[in-house]
Order: sequence, then C-alpha cells, then structure tokens
Amino acid sequence: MLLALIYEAQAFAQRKVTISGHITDYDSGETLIGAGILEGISGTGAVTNNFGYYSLTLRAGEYDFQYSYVGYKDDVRHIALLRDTVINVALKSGETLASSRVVASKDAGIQSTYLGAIDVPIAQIKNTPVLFGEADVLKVLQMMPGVQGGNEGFSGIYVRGGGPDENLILLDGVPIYNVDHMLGIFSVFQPEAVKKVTLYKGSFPARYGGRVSSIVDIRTNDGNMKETRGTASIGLISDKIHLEGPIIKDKLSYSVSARGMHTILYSPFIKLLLKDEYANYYFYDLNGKVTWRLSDRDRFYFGTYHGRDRFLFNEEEQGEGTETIGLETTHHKYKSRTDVGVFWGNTVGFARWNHIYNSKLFSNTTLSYNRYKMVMNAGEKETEIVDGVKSTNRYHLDYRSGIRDISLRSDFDFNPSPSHLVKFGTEYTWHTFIPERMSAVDREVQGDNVQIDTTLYFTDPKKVYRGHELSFYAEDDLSLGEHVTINPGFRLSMFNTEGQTYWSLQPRVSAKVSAGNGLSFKAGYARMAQYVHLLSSAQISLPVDLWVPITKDIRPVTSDQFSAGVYYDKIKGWEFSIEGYLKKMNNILEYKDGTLMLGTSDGWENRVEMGEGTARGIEFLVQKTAGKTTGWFAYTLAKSDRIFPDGSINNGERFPYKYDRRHSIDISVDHRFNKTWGIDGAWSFATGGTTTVPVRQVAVLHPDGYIIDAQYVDHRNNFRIPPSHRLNLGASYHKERRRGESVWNLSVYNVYNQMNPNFVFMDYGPDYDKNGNRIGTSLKMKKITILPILPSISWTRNF
Amino acid sequence: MRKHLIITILIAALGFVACENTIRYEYDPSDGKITILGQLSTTNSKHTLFLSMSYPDRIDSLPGAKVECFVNGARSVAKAIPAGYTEELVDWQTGETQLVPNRFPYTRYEFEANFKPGDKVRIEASKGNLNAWTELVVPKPGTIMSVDTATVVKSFVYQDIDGTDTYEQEYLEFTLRLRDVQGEDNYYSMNGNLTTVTSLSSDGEGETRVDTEGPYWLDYETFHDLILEDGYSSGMGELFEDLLPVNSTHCFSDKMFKDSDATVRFYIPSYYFKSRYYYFFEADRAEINRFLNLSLKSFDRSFYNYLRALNNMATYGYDVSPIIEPTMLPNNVNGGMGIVSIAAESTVEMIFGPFVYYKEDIDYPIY
Repeated sequence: MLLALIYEAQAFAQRKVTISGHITDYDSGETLIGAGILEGISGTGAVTNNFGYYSLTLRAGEYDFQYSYVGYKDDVRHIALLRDTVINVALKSGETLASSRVVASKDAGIQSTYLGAIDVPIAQIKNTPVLFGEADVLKVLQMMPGVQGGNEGFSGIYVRGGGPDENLILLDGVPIYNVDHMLGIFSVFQPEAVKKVTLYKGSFPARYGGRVSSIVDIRTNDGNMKETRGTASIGLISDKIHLEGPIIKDKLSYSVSARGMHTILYSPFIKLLLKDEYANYYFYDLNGKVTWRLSDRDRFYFGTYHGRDRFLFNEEEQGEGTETIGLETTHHKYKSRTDVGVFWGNTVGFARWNHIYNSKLFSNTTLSYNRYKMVMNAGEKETEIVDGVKSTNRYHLDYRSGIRDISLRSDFDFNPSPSHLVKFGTEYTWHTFIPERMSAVDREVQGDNVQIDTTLYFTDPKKVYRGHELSFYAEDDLSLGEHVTINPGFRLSMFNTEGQTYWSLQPRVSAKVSAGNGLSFKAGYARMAQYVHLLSSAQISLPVDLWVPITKDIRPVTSDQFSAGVYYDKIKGWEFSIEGYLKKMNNILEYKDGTLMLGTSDGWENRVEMGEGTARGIEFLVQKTAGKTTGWFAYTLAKSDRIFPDGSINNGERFPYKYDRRHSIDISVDHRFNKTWGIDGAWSFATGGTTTVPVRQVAVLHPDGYIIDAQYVDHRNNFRIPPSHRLNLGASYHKERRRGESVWNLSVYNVYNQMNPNFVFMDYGPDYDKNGNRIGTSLKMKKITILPILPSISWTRNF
Repeated sequence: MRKHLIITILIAALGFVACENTIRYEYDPSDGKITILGQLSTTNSKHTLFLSMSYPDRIDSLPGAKVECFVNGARSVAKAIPAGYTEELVDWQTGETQLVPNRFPYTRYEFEANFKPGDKVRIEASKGNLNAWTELVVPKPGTIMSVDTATVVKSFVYQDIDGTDTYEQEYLEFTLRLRDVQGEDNYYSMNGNLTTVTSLSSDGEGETRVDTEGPYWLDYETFHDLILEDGYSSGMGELFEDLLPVNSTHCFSDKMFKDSDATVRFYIPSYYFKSRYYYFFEADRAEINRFLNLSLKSFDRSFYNYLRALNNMATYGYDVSPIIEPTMLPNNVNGGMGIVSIAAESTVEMIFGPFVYYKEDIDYPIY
C-alpha cells in the first residue's frame, strides 16, 4: 500500500500538465501580443502569440505565476496545477515597465531568438513627429537601423540593401501591395487602428516568406469588448475617426477606423467655385474588424481594409466668333470638355478562425482576399459648329491594371514542453495579375456621318498572368538548457506560372546564447525566395507601377543572409544591441540600360536583367523603453552593390545600389513632463544615395550615317547625392475631459529648413557675357527639394 | 495622353512646395578627349572616320589631327576632309534665312585600306598631347544564302466604338536564309539600302541624262520576327509603341541560331519599289531602276552593344532622364571616346525595274 502511494506520488510529480489561456487588457478586453507568463522558481515561461494566446507545460504541482506586459501591472497568481488548466488573465495598465523579463519564445526584441526582429512601440509611432503631423507607421520604421527611406520624406522602405518590392507588408496577415498614398508621402496604415508592428530583417521565422528583404507584420485592434471608445482627429491634411466597442459584451466586438483627406469634403464647394476648371485629389482609408469570442476554444475574426487615392480633373472651354474673308462670312461656335479620373488602391478582406484543439495545440486558419486596382479614365469632347454644320471629336481612354490574391492559410502552434514551441503550417495563394488593359477610341463625326479616324489601341481583355503559390513551413523554438535557445526551421515553397514550376527549400536557423548579466549573443542564417516583382522606374510610388509574377524565363529572386549580434539589457529600461549582416541576393532584377518601365509590362522580361546583389552592414541600436523619456538612437554602417555579368547593365561591372548609403543616424526622443505636456523630437541623417549623371558630351554615329549629340554616362549610379538631415519637433497638450481627453499637437517638419535633395539633375544652359553675348555652355548640378520646413497642427479627441 | 496625365499628377503633387537649388558639382571644362567614330567595312576600300573633341559641357570639331590606320602593321594615313557644306537656318521671329557653316561638331577623315577577315587593324588619332587608339580584328562574314520575295497585303485591325475596323497596306515580303559563322558568338545587322537610277531622254536628242539618288537606308517592319527584333518590340500596333524602343538599327545576335541556319522575314512597303513621287521633267521618257542592296554585316560585341544603346536613345532621347535608366554608350577607343567597327559583309543586290514612263502617258506628278 505504502509502495503504491509512493509510486502514485512519483507518477503525479512526473506527470506534465499545461496551463494555457489568453492574456487581455483589463479595460478593453483587447488581446495582448507578446505578454508573458513566468514561473518564478524554475524561470520557465511563455509569451502570447499574435492572438494573445499562451501555453506553458510544466510538471504537475503548485506554482506562482507572474503575468506581465510592458505598460501593465504584473498579476501574480498561485495556482495548483493538477491537470491541464485554462487561465485567462486581464492585465491592468498603469506601470510603465514590466517588472520581470520572460525568457521565452518572443517573436521580436532582444529576448527573442531571432535577429533583426524589432517590435516598434505603437505609442512611439503615434508620438514621433512626422510630415504634416500625420503619424505614419512606415516612416517610423525608416528610423530603425538597417531601414532607409528611399526618397527624402517619402514612405518607401529599403531594408538591408533591398528594393522597395522586397518587403512583405502584412495587415493582419494579409499582404498589401500598394502601401502608399499621395505618391508615397503617406502610408496607408492608420495608427489608430494598429495594435502591433513587428519588423523582421535578419533571421526570418519560417512562417514568413515571399519576399527577400523584410517582413513588416502589422496587427490591428480587435475591438473593445467592454465599452465603446473612440478617437476623432482633425489634422492639416486629413481627418480621422476611430470607434470600437462591444456588440455583445465580452463576446462580440467591432473596431472601425476611417481617414480621409480634407479635399473629399471640399470637393462639392470646389466644383461650385471653379466652374470651368476643376481639379481635386484625395485619399481615404477604411478599416473594419469584428471579433467573436465564441468560446474559450474558438474565436472568429472578420476584417476588411479599403483604401483609395483619387485624382479628378475636368476642364471646359467654349468660344464663339465670326470671320469674314472677302465676301464670305462664317460663324464659328466652339466647345470642348476634358474629363480625367484616376483612382487606385487596395481592398482586403479576411475571415479567421482560432481554434484550440487542446492546451498544447493552437490553430489559426485564415481565408483572405486581396485586390489592388488602378483605373484611369480620360475623355475629351470637342464640338465645333461652322455655319450650322456640327462636327464632333470624341476621345476616350480607359486604362486599368490590378492584382487579385485569394489565399488560404493554416498555422499551428504546438507546445509539447516548456523547451519546445513548434510552429508549422501551410499556405496556398492564387495570384491573378492584370498588368494592364487599355482601350483608346477616337471618333470624329461631321453632320450625320461618322468620319475617319477611329484609331486606336486595345489590349486583349483576356491578358492575365496567373500564379499558384503553395508553401509549407515548420520551426521549433528549442531551449537547450537555461542559456541556449535555438530556432531551426524550414520553408518549402512552390510557385507555378505559365506551365513552369519553381520549388524553393529555404532553411532558417537562429540561435541565442545568454551569457548572464543581461548579455546575450545571437547568430542566424535565412534563405528567402520571392516570386513577384514591381515594375517601376521612378523614385516615387506611382499608380502605374505594376506588379508582375516571375515567368518561365525569369527565375525567383533568392537571398542568403548571415547575421550575428551582441545584446545587453541589464540596465532597467534600456536595451543595447549591435548586429552585423552579410546578405547575398541572386537573380535580382534591374532594368537594363536605357529602359523605361512606366506603366507597361509588355515584354518586361526583355527589359530586365538578372544579376547578383550584395549588402553588408553593422547596425547599432540603443533603446530606452521605459520612464518619462523614451526613444532610441540608431546608427547603420552599410554598403550595397549590384553586378550583372551579362554586360547589359553597366557593361557588366559592379556598381553601387541606388540607395547605397554608407552612414545613417536616427535619434527619436519622446518625453512626457506630466499628464498634460509632452514633447517629441526626431533627427535623421543619411549619406546620400547614388544617381546617374552624364559626365561629358559626345557625338554618336547612327548606322544610317547621321551624327547626333548625346550625353555620355560612364557608370551607372556614378554620382553620390549630398547627404540629407532634418529635425522634426512636436509638442502635445493633453486635457482631461469628463469622458476621455482632448489632445492638441503642434509639430514642425524639417525645423531648420534643410534643403534635402529629392531629385538631382544636370542642367546645361548657355552662358552669356555682360553684353548678352553667348560665350559658351554652363553645366550645373541642381537638386529639387520637395519638403522644406512644414509646420502643422492637429486636434484629437479621445472618448 | 497618358504620359501627360502622369506628369500632371506629379506636378500637382510635387509642385506644391518644391524648391530648386544648385549643388556643388566640379568639372574641368578643358578636360577634352578625342572621340573617334567609324563604321568601316570589308566591301569598301575608302573609309571615313569622324573625329571630335568631347568635353564635359560641349563637343568641338577636331581639325588638324594626325590619323593613321595600320592593317597588320601596314600604315595608311587619313586625310581630313573639309566639311564643305552649309546649312540654312531660319530665324522664326524675323523669318530671315541665313547660311551658316556646318554646325555638326566633327571633322571627317578619309583613308584607303582593304580589310579581310582576320586582319588586325589599329587606328590611331593624336593631336597635341592627346592620343586615342583602337584595335580591332576583322570578323568573318555571315552568309545570305537565299532571298525570296512576295507581295503581301497586311490588314490591321482596330477596335472602334461600333466594333472593329481595318485598313490594309501592301508590302514586299523578304524571306532570307542566313548562315551563322561557325564556332563563335556572332553579332549582325541586316540592312537594306535603296539606290534609284533614273535615265532621262528626249525625242530627237541622243544624249541621256542619268540621275542617281541614294543609297538610302530603308527601314523595315518585322511583325514579330524573333531573330530580327532581338528582344525589342515589333513597334507596330502595340499598346505602348511610343514607350517601347524598337530595333531601329536592325542589329541582332546569333543566340537563336548559333552555328546553324535561320530564316528571317521582314517587310518593306511596296511603294518604295514601284514608283515614288517624281516631279517630271523636261524629258520625254524616263526609265527608272531601283537597286536594293541587302547587307548582312557581322561585327564585334561592343558595336552590337552600341547599336542597342542607339535603339534606346532613338526612343527615349539622347539626354539622361530621371525616369529612365540611362543608356551607357560602349567605347572601344583607348585614351579617348567613341566606337569604331569593321563589318564583314555578305550582300545581295536586287533590281526593281525598269519602270518606263512617257511624258504623254502620265499625269503630273507621277505617284
């Protein structure tokens, strides 16, 4: 009997049980991503995934568990863990710093196993002063080490020597193709709707794929489960409103956000005022999400995003007159009208189901629809009546392009023991690319007769490119003892297009060694593959930029990246990191010399060349994450180049990448004096990128015997643009109201009015002496600065 | 229309607050380099080189240079040829016309030499302390094995509001069988040059006047001949024909028919060979013969790249534009600039005619 009891007791002690559940915000019921649970004695812990779910397996027994999250009070619970248990915890906000560090499978930050993975605090995004006072997710990302803005002041991101189409930007897990408004001055993401932003640029988790340079994972609010809350804001450029609340308390919630440029509202007035000529441009974004907590095991999410840029122009002209030639007098009447309309933007919808099979297995299944569409309509009608005979000329152009993705994805988190967190899953995407469809019709009518000339273009309406992308992945965040974690993984992907199938096996591995006293070391390797490209020649985002899939002649781009880093976070509220990387890119595309990519994908394979790219660099980051003063200092030393051995680009010689910037420094500081006043500052410096300028004038001889003057270029990207730097400052005044608060925000972009170059060009002009005689030709390098000092003010009401 | 629209959008957005400033850019206006341009051939013994001085901000002609050509070490000296002609410039404000000297900034140099495949040719140019030179090996010629012609009518279909509409154009279709040079990468161009010889005679006069026009370079259409288009747009009826470069220099490589034969096809409007505007004439009888010289030229890789660069420039302009990846002109001149090629040619001459016209039978003018 005694032996049986001893055996029973031993068996009980050996038996493993799992504690799992969701961690949420106490006030809103919003799930917290990356919140931690820590068992104090053993030091084992876990963190919540993207849906606020955690799972921790331990031997049966009694434990004190500490639940924590940055900016929230810790919650300590004593739990007798005898069997698998579900504990949902709601944390109260209040503390600015979590009191404990959870050494567990975090996805980003110093404590995660991954390198180059950064959680960007949403408060920092909202507070950092940027252009026109519009908080912008991508512009704050530009201030992270290893990330550069392309054109000064624009929201494009260039990560570790990669191009703008090499970033996978996910909104609630759904890729967004066009992330810009206003030609790239603003991004499409509304900070009010965003809950979490994570940037991956080094050792990518195996669950991500499809781009070679970075992953930006943006998660939006689920919606307040407790009470209705909202924000309304009026800014210099746009107005915003955000509402969220319960439909059924603690069961069903909604979150909706809308943003629009003022000119939407002014549009009717502008039309009234400008009768003969009207032009208007505006953009808007709509985000919506419904969260349904059916049970502890099942949750459903339904989300949508819809954004548009729209440009409208119309003009009317009319005139009348009489002309006498000799004895003949003719009477003319003339009227013309021109209408132009362009719109472009994304529409995204998704349905997601979270299911907990058991306390160790969590699944997330997402069905998503994503469409980018660009439509341009232009029409011109001219009517002329000469002595009662009417003639009409009509011209109409219709141009459209787009992409449509339908995707089904299943992800699983399996937590068999505290030392393993296995993630695996699969994804299938059906891509449909419509690079361009165009019809243009010109019709001339005189009297009752249709005259010549009906010229024109039309494209085959069936011209589409289809692609099937299928991928499988698995990774394990594996703890080897107390100090070592390793995350091996792989991603196997397949892309089928035009009867050609490409397979890619992408191994990923990262490892972290904790040396104690807050010091840790990491190293990693990642291979990535990319199957789509953006065709664009301009340095800014244009609506006619086209996404196209790889073809049977153009192979997928792949990258191999090695990175290593040293990290230190012993000082409370401070984090230090230094990371180095070497990235090799294969089959990278560049436009051949003398190539225009504007608005047409016709024969695009012949206009690009496949080559190799190399990027290397060292990134230094100091972050202050707690206290009245928060912010970061980032420095990047980087080098990036390209080579196209075929010889059709730069005669086959290596040349610096367009955004090869040797030094970048970013400082962001946010200081709260008290509950009423706060100030923010951001200073950025970057070595100039490169551009190509002619170095001399030459004559060229055509085979038909003609000789023509031309500008001679010796190398691609042969001129380094002067460096850019600017200081942005902002101050906010918060006033508590009976319900919520109001916030006045004053910000100044480019405080000291630095004339940073957006474009440079060579200007040739005649030189004259004092008497106005031409004495030669002058040659000047000129720069265009789009964004000098720009103050702005906004008012926000939180309720 | 579309390009204008894009520019409108850009100006509307960027012109809002844009400022223009000069930035520091240092250059030496006296940094001149000799430029040598020449397209020499195995079928001629007289050759022309075009020399100029290239500076960062201008081009000047280059009289008084010493220009020499060495064929397998044997020297031939080039003579500068005066420009010799003027051009009319019209002042659009005053309407006045004035004759000015040739403004093209080059100086012609002529020399005599015979080239054959495998010859090593060195061309040198010097003036003062400036020297430029290039070395070339004369390539082997490809072969035009056969030429067939046919008259064809091409229909072009357009979409109209009321459906489709068509128009027709008569072409002379040329079908050529080409043979590649064996065992090496080869680069070619296929050109047609048309010479018109008109013999004019009047009744009762024994003397016949002969006018020769040409040779003129003839452009042709390829209508999706993969070899002749060499990856370029066919340039006819395509969606963005004004945005896409076409193979206006008619160059191509042998990558699609390496070490073998290939059939290529191109089209020239028939009216070039039938007749043309001809403003008649004091004579009573005109006999017109047209000589079409089809030439398959082979040359080296650098000249092929040069021709491809010219294709791009012919479409997008000869100045660097911020929205187009700039075209880089290949050089094969050491110590200077420019490109010199020697083409080995395989030619076929075709005669169209005689077309005989009598003054009393024709309307004025003949078309």
